[in-house]
Amino acid sequence: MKKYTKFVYTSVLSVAAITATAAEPSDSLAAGQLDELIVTGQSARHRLDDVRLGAEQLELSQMAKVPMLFGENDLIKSITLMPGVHGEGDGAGGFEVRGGTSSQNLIQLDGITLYNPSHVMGIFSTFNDNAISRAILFKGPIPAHYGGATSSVLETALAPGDMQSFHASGTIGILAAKAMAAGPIVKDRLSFAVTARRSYVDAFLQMVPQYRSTVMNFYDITARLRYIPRPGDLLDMSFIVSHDNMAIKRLMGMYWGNIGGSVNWVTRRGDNLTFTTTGAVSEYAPDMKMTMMDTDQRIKEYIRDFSLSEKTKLNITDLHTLEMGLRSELLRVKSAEMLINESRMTDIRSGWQNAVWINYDGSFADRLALAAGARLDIFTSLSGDVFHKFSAHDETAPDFSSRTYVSAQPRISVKYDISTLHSLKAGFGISTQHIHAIRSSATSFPFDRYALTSATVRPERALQYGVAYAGMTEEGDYDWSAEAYFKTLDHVYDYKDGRTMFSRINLESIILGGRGRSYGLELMARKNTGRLTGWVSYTLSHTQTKIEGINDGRWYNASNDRRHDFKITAIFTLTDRWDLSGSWSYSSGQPLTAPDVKYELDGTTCYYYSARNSYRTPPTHRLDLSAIYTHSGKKLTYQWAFGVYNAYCRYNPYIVYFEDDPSKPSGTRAVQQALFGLVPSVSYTLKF
Amino acid sequence: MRNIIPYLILIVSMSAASCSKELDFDYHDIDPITVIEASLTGEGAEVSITLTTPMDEPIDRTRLTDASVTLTDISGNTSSLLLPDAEGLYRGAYAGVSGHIYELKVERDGHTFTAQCEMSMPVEITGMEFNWIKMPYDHVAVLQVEFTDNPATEGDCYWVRVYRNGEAYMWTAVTDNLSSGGEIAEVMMTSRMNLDKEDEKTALRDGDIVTASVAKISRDMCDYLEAISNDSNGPAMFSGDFCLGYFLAAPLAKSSVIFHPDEIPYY
Repeated sequence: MKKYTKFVYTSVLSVAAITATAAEPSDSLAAGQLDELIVTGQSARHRLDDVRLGAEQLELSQMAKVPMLFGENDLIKSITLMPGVHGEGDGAGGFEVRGGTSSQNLIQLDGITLYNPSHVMGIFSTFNDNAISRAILFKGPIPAHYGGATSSVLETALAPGDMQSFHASGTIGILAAKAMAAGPIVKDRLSFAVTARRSYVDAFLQMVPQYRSTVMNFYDITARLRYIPRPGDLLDMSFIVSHDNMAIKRLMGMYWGNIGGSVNWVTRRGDNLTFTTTGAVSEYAPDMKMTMMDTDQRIKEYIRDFSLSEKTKLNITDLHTLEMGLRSELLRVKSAEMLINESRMTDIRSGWQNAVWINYDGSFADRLALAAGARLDIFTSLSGDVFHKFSAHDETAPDFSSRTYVSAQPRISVKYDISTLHSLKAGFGISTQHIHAIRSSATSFPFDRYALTSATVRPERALQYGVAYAGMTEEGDYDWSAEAYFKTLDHVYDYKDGRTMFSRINLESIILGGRGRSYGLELMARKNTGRLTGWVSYTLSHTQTKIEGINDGRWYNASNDRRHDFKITAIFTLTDRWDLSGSWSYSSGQPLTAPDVKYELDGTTCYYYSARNSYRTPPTHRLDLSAIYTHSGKKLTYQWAFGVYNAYCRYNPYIVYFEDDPSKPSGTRAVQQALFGLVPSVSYTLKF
Repeated sequence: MRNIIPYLILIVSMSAASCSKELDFDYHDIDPITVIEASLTGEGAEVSITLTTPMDEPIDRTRLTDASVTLTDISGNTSSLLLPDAEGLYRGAYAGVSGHIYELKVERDGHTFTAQCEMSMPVEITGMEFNWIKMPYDHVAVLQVEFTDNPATEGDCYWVRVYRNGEAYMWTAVTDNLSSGGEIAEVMMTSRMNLDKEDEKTALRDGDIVTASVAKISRDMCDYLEAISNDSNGPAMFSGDFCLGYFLAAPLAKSSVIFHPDEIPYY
């Protein structure tokens, strides 16, 4: 098969950040929200002063200059440059934080929960950089107003439309095209912002005769309406749809995507009291099918999420803030529906999650700051015919009885200022998660199956402790940090040995629950000013899992365990028009379950595995380079971006497998498949 | 579904793969494990006992002949001691009876391995055909094997094995989820059209005799076969001391076709 990845593509870098900062609303209420709307970065001072452990507000304008695969600026890929965060690897779109898996992250866009937000085997994320105005990653103890994730929270926001003037941009590349339009509908009252992106690799494939039956495309659309009914009130309506299609016509197809919408109503009463009400719905729905001769097979899944939240913020004084809130969320999960010729098997269940939370932020005696909160999480697995459905061939139905789980979750961070330039932090938090992604492989895959907390499947629960030191120079030219964490997990689930997502429709019958633990040290140093800026990060960590019935009940390296993770990123402003950047990353090999001995069954070579994840793949490392030329005119700005991904063409492991090889004395060889070699890119962007 | 959709996913993902290379692997040393392949059909019993081979050595197919192998018809209350022949296979001449429960006991070197299996009902292969199906990289000959399934029972499993000129070619485990009107049609992707690009292990050439064998198996056996085809160990099929392998009591249905690529229709 032709190598799709060797095509030369155009891409966009940095348009989103530029667009977002240019789209500041000037209305007084919006101005009062500036701290949420326009902050696209985090200064050294802010990092030092932030009381929360492991909170990273992503500098979108800086991330936009970092070289990326195919030159496509990607939020998720940018996050993986942070300490304690790494990508799942080539071909997978998720990110892993402090030993957690990508499914243990809560990813929200304007309150809409997104699942597996990636396109085309993880090459791109669902996030169109044109659309995003803010991204905050919480790695440490998660703030009390978030629930449903045991590893991290990535909160993102769509950029609202400018209330005064119209803006637009367009990018055309060989891989994808995207457009953005934003502006007022009624000045100072109503604005809109719309972005759209669509790949068209399949259009090129149609030109090659042997690939005319191949379908490979994705699209995503975001939209945000902002309405200011009166001073003190703000109403935002957000929408996102993303969809992937990978198919061979008339033979097989894989389709997946997210669709969701939210309404956020912010109302301010006086200078100190703010109420935020959010209603959101979302659906993640993968679908896979095959028709071959007399066989029709299809597997469908979904996760449906309906939520209503209320948050109240009270500024007691300039130094003390109190927030509290409620959240009610209805979850409906179809772990699988298998349609095989005339047979139909289904497993659907529902759960209702409610939470009440409170958080206090305050400073004391000039040196001490505290963020202390608590969340009470109540989850009920819903019984009753309307809430679940199960049909199968010769399988015992799961236990659909109702069960309620109550979890009290303190979330505390404390900061002590040694001086104005040095601080110490410590934190502790408990969090739970009720949607469990059960994976057949080490990386996320659109068709992982999802188990919902039930009478049998317990909520996943994490305890995380952390301590940190942060420092900076007088003017903030440099800052650095060291952070250590220890995390334990209860009720993590994995497939029984030999089981896959297709083994049974009753997912609970083929999984086992156990424990996990992770600990690590993260070091970071940044240069923030001057023509040369950038950062260096190193993480030393260890992540393990223990499940009775797997690996003889012994602790084993978790599939996402990476002992060493090192990253260096540099951005150099050559002239007022040219920016150069480079990043180099290194990550230890991934744990691998490899055979120890072999034998024959019916003439076929079979393998025996004595332990899970007792081997490692070769390490992954890569150098990426980019050069960006920007010309800003009075009305128009255009930009050329040139990039080289994987500049020294390191073939990093994507799949490792074992096969017979008669040419070898042993008759067996281990093969590593890599996904990307050297990938050049060029892009052109025009905006006004 | 198990063997097709994952295979197709692999096609898509590996088709985008840029490069493959061989890895130097430092395998762990473990003690050899006994492997027992035992089958009882309508023609007789056959038991092969071998040991596993380290990954960095050529497979040792030497059959062990120092074991005591006993086959007992629990339902018929008879027992036979099987003896090794010149090929190292323990054989018994009597035919299994469908519905009877049989127990195989192997004793060797102070270890005992025991398994029981009920002789399943026979199945019938009702059809075998190839179609050329267009994949992104080439046409592939897809073999469809059709055989009978009892619609009155649910959860039935089958082992479909394919031989090329009498040599093992490929196999798969199938459940009756595929059943339609009392028949199961199992599809298996075989050789690509361009033989220059095909591995010799899977290449089918003009005139090759392709034989399908189908046997009804237990759910445990199905899980075991599924596990080893998914690079895992699967449940132990023997009780007592630990060993690999299986004991299968089932009549075999067989059918053959001759592979003529020019006569295969396009799907």
